[in-house]
Amino acid sequence: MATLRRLFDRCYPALVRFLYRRLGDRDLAEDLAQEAFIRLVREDPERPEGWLFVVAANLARDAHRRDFRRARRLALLAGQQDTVAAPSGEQQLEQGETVASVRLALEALSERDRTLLLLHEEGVPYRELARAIQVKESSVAPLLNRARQRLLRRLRGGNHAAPLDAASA
Amino acid sequence: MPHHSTPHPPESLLVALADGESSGFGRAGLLLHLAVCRRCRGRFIAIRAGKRAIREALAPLTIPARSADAWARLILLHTAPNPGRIPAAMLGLAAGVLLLVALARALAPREGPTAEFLAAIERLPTRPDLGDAPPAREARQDSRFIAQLLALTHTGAAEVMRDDCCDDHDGEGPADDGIFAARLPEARLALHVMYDDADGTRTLSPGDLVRSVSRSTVDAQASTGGVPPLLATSSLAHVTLLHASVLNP
Repeated sequence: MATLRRLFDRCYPALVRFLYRRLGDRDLAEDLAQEAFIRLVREDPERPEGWLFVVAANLARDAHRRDFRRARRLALLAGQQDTVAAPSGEQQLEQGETVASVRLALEALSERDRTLLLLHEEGVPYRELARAIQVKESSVAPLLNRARQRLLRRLRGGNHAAPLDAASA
Repeated sequence: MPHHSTPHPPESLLVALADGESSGFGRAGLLLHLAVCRRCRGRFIAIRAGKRAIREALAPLTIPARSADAWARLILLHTAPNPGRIPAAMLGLAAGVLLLVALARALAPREGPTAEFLAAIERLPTRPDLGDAPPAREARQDSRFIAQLLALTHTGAAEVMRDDCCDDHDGEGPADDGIFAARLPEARLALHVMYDDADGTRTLSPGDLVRSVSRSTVDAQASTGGVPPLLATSSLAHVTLLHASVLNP
């Protein structure tokens, strides 16, 4: 139990942060982080930290798909084909243009890019990233690099912003 | 013409280096190359700057985790469905709590029939002929009586002996006739209700129509193994019933 507690103290905040950034919903983030820990206890994996994040990424992906389908159904019901999903309570609390633009930039990325970037931000190593997005470990660096460039372009307000290595030109 | 002999490393190696994923000779070779190649040093610096920019951009998307609550919930969820992992001391504590609850329930006075309910039953005549039972068209809603009777079965003050539903017991129409029997041991009484299953639940429920209610003593049923003699058959033609007019005079 002490080992689990240490792991929990070390990883739970990072898991919640990852899931919150990924989904934009605090309660859901906490629920899924807890679910990841419950599965960890059940399965007792060899490398628990990376395992937790891979499971959390899968849970987030499933939740995001459910949320997307629900939003689309609601939009259809409301007769608004192009409606963007209504902001959650958490999202409404996020004040400021910066936060909103970051969230928009993240949402504009592909599922894989988002997962890679956000997991790596939490210190998840390449090996586990490869597992999370189901690619070879050697593919992680170029994929991560491209994901960073796409996000930076979005953050800088366009699709044609200077690439990362412009300084070297 | 480059001023060094080694080829420029691909972007992915520089990314891995910036991410701390390089080690051994690969890392040493890259660092050596960066030391002598201004162009690749610039690429590497740009990669790190991009990482830093993303980290700074994501920083506001952070919430404090409510770890204490989450840990408590995790322990509860973790231990509840898997008794094999619960420590023996916890099992002992749980058993003690269950025992106390059982004792408290056994010692607590049971919720019995209300005085009003018993008075109504006392006024019921016993065992008239079938001909005295009202026709179906005179069945009435008496949801309060039914609710009281069902509540007693929930508290344990009454035991359901039989609930036959549904059939055309009286031969008058649709198969919606039900016969319900319950015993009240403390009052040494048994109640027999004939009802129309008006709400279609196929069991006695407050939405049904009461056609008649009768009573008998518990002693009279003992010889038939708990099934009152007057309900030994499901055919109303052979059942003696009373009209419970006293319940709604």
